[in-house]
Amino acid sequence: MKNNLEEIRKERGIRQEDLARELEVSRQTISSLEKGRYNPSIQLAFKIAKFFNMSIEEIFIYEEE
Amino acid sequence: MLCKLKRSAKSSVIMLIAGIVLAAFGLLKQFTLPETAHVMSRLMGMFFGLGSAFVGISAIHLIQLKISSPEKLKWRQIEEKDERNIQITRIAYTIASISASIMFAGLVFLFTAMGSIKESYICLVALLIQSSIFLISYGYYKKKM
Repeated sequence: MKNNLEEIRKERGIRQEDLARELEVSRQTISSLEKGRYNPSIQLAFKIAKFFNMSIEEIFIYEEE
Repeated sequence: MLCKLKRSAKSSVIMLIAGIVLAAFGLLKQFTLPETAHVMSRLMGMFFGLGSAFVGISAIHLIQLKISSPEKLKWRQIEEKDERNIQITRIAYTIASISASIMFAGLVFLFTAMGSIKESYICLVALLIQSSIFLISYGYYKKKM
């Protein structure tokens, strides 16, 4: 699954560490999410969307395998 | 969830006490054993070793809790609850479990080939227990989820 997390985060001038702290996940998780190496749980996806005040679809792009 | 188990100060204190009791029991019993009781002596040595390991692990954890800054402790808590870390732990446990099953099966054949029937049966029982635990857990979570 692709995502726009890195672009959105940078647009808002938030550091990975600060985002991680807000979402209560490790900085490595944010890094892995941005690189597309890790797909978040539905709970984390909702948390991210809520944090940026966006919908999940605006951040995460579903791709059929 | 099993992988979410976190080590609190309370659990470390319990582990420390258990370690001291085990190590003390192993050490004190060692002195009362006759020189010819080699097997018991080895067993008491194992108790002492296990107890010492418990003491070491729990003492390090308690010291870390004492000297770490609140910021560091907060990050450690986050790391423990982090869903990616939990998933990584689960994958590692799965790989370790599959490897253990293969190893037990291999050991059954190896011990049989070596003529060590008792050891072969011990490995077979261990393999069966492991498989039973898997089936019970599978059935439990199938109903639960």
